[in-house]
Amino acid sequence: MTYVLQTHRLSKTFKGKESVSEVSMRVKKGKSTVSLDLTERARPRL
Amino acid sequence: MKMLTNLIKPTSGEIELFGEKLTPTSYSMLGRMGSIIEYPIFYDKLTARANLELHCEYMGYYNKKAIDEALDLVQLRGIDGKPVKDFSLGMKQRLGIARAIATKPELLILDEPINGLDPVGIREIRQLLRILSQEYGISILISSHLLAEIEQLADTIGVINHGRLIQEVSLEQVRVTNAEYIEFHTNDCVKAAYVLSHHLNISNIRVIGNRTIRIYDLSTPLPQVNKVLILNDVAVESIHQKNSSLEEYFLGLLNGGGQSA
Repeated sequence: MTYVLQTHRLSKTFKGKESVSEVSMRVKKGKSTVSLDLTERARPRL
Repeated sequence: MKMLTNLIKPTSGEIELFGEKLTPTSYSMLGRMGSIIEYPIFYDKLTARANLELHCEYMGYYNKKAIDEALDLVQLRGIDGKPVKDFSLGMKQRLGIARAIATKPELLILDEPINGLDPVGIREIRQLLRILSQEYGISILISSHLLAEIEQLADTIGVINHGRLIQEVSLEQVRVTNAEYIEFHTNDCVKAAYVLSHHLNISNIRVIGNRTIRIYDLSTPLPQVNKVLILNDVAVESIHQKNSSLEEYFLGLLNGGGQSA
């Protein structure tokens, strides 16, 4: 098994707005993968 | 991230974990992963150790040694008898990671693990994640908005723009395609320029002062340049490749440089 995680055209719509749109990505076994969302602001932490 | 951990259902599409399709009842698959989604929540009045013991109980994982190992890894051993309410934000984040790794997961999913931490806390988490990946072989998926941190953590980066994956690329590949020039220092720039021109056919160079040369023609890899200079008796004091910043690269993608993956 090369990939421990794979998504295939994954989408999510909240209240009519698509927040994830057909995302296909993979996480290779033993590797670090970063999903970098440059269009959203980081969540504040309490 | 919540879809990957079965907390919410996708509207469409599929998730495959460890080679099998994720379904609402994939409990055994979920037991093979550890996660922190948003921020870690604990029973504040219980001790750190008691929180980990409870978690292992929930997960059906009975190995007290694993709790000690997890506490050791996040450097909370010795203060694990304190109630979590007395912990700083960084300590809670480390305890969250200890909880996520206590059951020896194969995959770790972390939602913005360094967000809100001070520089010392960021460095500690970064080092810890590197150890988990490189020494323990744990696969890690991190979500982040912080470009500067990516370079320290990622082997592969998936760039998301308005919910759409616009590029999936290895950091190594970004570094190679992002190279600007090779710069080296020597005490004989005239001889170095001659060697570059006559032995490597490199003429696109710039001499800066008496001791520095920049090569803008990157068709010859750095090790080869270094080798040829030394074989021709040019004393190379230091040599490195300059890359443009990751920020420039990724902002370039957002400004139209990337296609949907």
